[in-house]
Amino acid sequence: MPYGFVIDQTRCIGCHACTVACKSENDVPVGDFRTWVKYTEIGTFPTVRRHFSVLRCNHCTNAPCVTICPVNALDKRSDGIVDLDRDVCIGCKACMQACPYDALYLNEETGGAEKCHYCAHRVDQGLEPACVVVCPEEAIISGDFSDPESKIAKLRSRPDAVVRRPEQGTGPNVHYIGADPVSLNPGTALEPDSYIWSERRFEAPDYPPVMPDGVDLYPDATTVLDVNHKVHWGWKVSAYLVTKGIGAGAILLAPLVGAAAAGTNAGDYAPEIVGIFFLAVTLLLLVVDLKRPLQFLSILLRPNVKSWLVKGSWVLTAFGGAALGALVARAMGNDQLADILRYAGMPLAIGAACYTALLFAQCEGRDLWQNTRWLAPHLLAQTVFLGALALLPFLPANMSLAWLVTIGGVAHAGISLREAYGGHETTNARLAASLMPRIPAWPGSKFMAFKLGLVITTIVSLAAPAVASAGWLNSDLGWVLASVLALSAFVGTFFYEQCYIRAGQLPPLS
Amino acid sequence: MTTSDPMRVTPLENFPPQEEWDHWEEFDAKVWPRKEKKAYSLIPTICFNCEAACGLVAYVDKETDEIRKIEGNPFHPGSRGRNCAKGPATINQVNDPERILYPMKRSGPRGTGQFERTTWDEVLDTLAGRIRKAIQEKRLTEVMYHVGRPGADGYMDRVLQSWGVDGHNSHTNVCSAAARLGYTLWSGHDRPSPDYEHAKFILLISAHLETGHYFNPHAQRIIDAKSAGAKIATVDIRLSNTASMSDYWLAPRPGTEALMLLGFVHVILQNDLADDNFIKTWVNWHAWLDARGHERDFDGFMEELKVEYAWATPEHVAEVTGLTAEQIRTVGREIGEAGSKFAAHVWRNSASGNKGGWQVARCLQFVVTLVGAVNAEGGTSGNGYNKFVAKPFDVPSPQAVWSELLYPREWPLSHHELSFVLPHLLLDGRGKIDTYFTRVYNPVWTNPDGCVWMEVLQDENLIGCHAALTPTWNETARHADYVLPMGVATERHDLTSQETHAAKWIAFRQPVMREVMRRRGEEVEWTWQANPGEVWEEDEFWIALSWRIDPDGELGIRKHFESPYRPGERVTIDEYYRWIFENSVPGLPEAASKIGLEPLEYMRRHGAFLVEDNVYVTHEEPLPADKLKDAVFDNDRAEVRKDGEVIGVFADGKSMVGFPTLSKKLEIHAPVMAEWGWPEFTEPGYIKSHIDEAELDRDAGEMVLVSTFRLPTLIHTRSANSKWLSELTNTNPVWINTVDARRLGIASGDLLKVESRIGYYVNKAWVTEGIRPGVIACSHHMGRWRLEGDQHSANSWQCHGMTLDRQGTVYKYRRQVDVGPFDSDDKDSAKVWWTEGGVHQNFIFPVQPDPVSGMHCWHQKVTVAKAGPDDRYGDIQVDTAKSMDVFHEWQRETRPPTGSLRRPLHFKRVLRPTDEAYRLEE
Repeated sequence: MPYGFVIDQTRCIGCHACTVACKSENDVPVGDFRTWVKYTEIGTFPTVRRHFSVLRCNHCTNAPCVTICPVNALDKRSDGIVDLDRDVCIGCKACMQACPYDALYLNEETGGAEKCHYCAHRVDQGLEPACVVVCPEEAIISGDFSDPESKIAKLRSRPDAVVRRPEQGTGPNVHYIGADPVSLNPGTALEPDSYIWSERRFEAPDYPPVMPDGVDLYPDATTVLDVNHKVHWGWKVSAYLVTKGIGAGAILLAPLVGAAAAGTNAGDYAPEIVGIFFLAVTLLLLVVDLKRPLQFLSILLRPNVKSWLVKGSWVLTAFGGAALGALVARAMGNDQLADILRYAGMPLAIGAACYTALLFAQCEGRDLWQNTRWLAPHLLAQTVFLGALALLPFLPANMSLAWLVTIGGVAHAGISLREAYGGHETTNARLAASLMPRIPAWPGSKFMAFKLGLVITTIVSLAAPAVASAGWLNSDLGWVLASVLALSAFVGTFFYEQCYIRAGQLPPLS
Repeated sequence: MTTSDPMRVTPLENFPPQEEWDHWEEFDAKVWPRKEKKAYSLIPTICFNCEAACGLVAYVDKETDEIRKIEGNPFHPGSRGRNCAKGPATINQVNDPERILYPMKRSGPRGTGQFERTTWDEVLDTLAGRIRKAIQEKRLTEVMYHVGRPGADGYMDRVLQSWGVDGHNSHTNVCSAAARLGYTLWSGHDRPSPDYEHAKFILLISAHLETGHYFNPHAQRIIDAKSAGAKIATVDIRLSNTASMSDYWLAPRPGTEALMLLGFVHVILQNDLADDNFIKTWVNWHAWLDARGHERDFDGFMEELKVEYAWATPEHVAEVTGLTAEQIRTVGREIGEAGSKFAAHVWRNSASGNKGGWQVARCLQFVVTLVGAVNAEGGTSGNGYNKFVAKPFDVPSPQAVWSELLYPREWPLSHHELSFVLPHLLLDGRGKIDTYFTRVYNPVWTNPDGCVWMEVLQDENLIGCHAALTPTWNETARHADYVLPMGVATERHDLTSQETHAAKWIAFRQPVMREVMRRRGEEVEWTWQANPGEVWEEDEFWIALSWRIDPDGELGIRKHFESPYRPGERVTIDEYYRWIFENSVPGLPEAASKIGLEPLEYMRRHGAFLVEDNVYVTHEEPLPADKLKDAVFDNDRAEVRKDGEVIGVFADGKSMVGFPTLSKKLEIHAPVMAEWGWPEFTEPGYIKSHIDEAELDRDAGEMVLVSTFRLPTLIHTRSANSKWLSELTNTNPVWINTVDARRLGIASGDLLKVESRIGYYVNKAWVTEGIRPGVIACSHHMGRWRLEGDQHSANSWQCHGMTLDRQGTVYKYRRQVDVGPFDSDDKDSAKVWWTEGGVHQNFIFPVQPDPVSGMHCWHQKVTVAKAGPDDRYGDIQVDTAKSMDVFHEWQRETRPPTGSLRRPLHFKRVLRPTDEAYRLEE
């Protein structure tokens, strides 16, 4: 019995009764919306027209928010409703990345995600959703698609019924009749700095004046009223990618370092200490980024095994366990066990580095991040680059490490350039990529994060073997120079991730 | 229960079953998916946000006695269980953290914004004492009740007439008065009631899919018709949501709309699409021919009519209006082909914008009449046929006095009071006011020339005492002696009816908490005891006040407030409505008894009652037999006459009631215009507007400002207390076409300086294709303000802080504090993310009373320029010395009566006095 909606835009008058009735029924905070109406104007006087589209959760058949939710707070009910358990949600905001429709928001007060849940509390009592009841035009039709005699089934089978962003493969269950394509295709209309009778909550996205290839901007179409959506993942996620890369890289390169400096503290302990330290920082960042950090253990206690947040946490646990085991075994004098664990750590380090590509692949709302083919090797390259640099202060004279910095760094730069300029398959990804070079390094900065990051990491990657072979790292203060190189590279990579993470979230989804 | 939709096959229902409304349990959405149930009483009432009076149902939590939410009422024949955004937003108004809960009394000089709490006893004693004294001293024009949103039918007429005063003032002359004159001249009904639902072609000189009387009920039926294949044409200078949903958007040059309609008349006549049979019987074409001295038959009349409007060719009309000849031809032809299924409405729009705007309504009704759509199914009726005003238990005799402040003699044909020039009349020494009530009315903000209003409201010699009855704080209440909090939709009684479709219904507003307490068996004497704080309802306020004006019955007032059930005792509000429902509403007692209820109980539980359905062709009702005695039946003129007066229409051997005009016909020729000094306007025509192209100096940057358009999410000045409406709607930039923007070097967001005859404002530009070039537009509603230093914060969801620098007659306002987060009991107030709140534009408009209808002509001739370096967003400057000059200029265009009457006796007048009062004193 799949429930869904048909929204009849040939009848909708854009009055916002649904918007307000929903807020009233579901106690939605000011600033957030479970359903809203977008106005788009197309054309020139006197043939210009305004088009309305009622936007909300699509109660997808293959709901990506349900897949990614690490704690099963989101649930596809047997009647098709995608419901959300506010008590279980840990506020990781992954669902907001997974949803290609901007359907979820974070209730700042409770720290939990919320969304249209088809008024499940009413449906379970035999009542229609509040928006359906209030609509003056009966333009929102609820009901059961499986009953061929129902009004909703008949409307859905009309040839002009369409869904939003079908290419996402989510199987949306909100069908539109008579909607203008521009109003359902985000990013195709001009975005003004303020709306027709409302201000914008967030600044208009800084689109390039010339749209990138393949993005079909309708020059005479403007979004004139809309609801703005927050960018949910910020510097903590960018930093997490860097610290995880450092930690994973240290463990990945541990056998190499061990072989080069066996018997020294640097060879025996440094990789694990660096690895464990940065893993700890990584976990801290992840927990702090949760809106309900105290509920972080739910990831392990009530896991959704389909979510790469969960699988990733297992990988990180195993990775940390191996590193800690190696360290303890070494300290206890069991070198053989320590070496076995050290070698076992290598694939786990690759897993720790690269699982994020699979997590990001689950972010159906962020096409830029779904470029797994390049993201996985990119993460690996960064891991080599960052790991080698992290270990360099301990083994300043090691040319292999220095060359690994170069190899990793150059690969990172190459793939970064590819991500920004190498083309993408979808409009959303192309738009995001075009925005990557336009993200300031910090708020208000003239420097762009992409360029600054790339310059820093490239200088470091080329400088490492040069200064190493020049013997500068062998001096008493060589570790200082190596540390400077390493820290610079960390910051440079962080800049790259800032623009990658932010740009990925900027293209409008609704 | 479900709606009437036959296609609905879903297991889900719209509303809880009515038998469970007394005790309805449902899952608490706030803790979902935890399945916790809460119990509610579901109490019907009606919305108080616009005039449509849609049905609401309040969910009152049985444990906390709080209203949890407000939904629609499925029993309401007009709104049918559905609402616009403003219905569910009522809960915001109930819970407004800044609402006034107690009566307040001025504690500083008037207009300085300083108030202290007082008691209702003190309020009632003071006001009753003043009014009693005025009545005793025969100062019967010095007590004035000035209403913005009535929300009820006729309650106050009874109160004021029991006092014997001529003191009813309204907002109508800034709203619908012009169109009312145009409609009245044709049919005696002053508003249309289109039967959209069954129409084939709909012409809207309005924005009924987003605003207007009656937005939600009308929008439902317009869209139903559209889905059934009807075509819609919308006339609007800017692209409204309504225009966007229409098949034709016509944006003629402002002021030329009447001509456009005459173009349709031309097309209909030339293509022989007029309904000859209808016109022959129901139009006073004899008078039309008589006036020309032509003795011809009907066919001759139709020939002459063609010739009369031969000049209005599509090509000529196109040239003047800026539309295309093709548009005139196509729409004219489609109207003609729709025939009697042509539903049309002018609401505000050009009728309210232009000098001579009343002719827009008249020309529109011309089109309706030509195609025989009057009172037809799918056509356009008169409002009187679709509205049911129930009589109360006691109707006092009319007052014997006439107030020159309400109906000044120079506007004898004005429809409704010259409300908006009240301060100008006071300043000109035309009278004074002892006790002045403003009631859900905010003239300082809403009316043109708000600064003159402030000056007069501050002058205690002109207005002795001012009590503002209001559910929310406003700019006018700021200038009162008493601010008296009155209930919102869920806190008051009212009985109302509106012409939403081809039917007649009544709807009952009731204080929901009082009703819950009554059902629990608790005695509630006054509604305020069940309301938050000490919020009264007006109905009871007027009973209590009238009782105190005449405690012993000496003035003859008290008897009108004595219970029809308990002789000599004061009537209770329950008794007042009980009597109406038992005695004045046909069919209601029977319907109630069928389900075992008393009529009052029926209304308390259903909230509405359908008095009559499918009301059509009422003009064909037979004349009552007693009237036919000694009557003359004139076959040639299709008239029934008696004692020299026409009393009905005679056709096909039948005597019928006809229309409420002197001729009982639809009057294409209105002799009253010639009799009252306007011989050039006896017939529908086109009057050049004050903003006609010829009046504009384009080289000097002059443009037309359209300032009246409303938005679907706000209610005049009464929605700044709604957080949900404010977050959707919080800025009113000036719409300007891309062509004009290029000329001025303006981009969206740049500041514009808009200058009128009396002042200027500075606002942001919204550069758009959605407006005719050469015209700018700015939405009404926004720019609510308080002055820095005011004691009370209010309406903070939309209200910004201003400072006033007054130098003589020059007022300079500057925005100092933006809208933003604020502290309150409502956690959402910390989340206000918007900052602007808009610019108050009405301040800079001089009054422009139409010389005939008396309507304020809203369109303004303005100069538009890029703002200068010293201009800041929200700046406003006004010189009130210039205001009076403009008023006098317009006043000079009037033609005062030359006969012995102030006004035609057959013209409607609010609170109609005795016929004797119509006589001009020597």
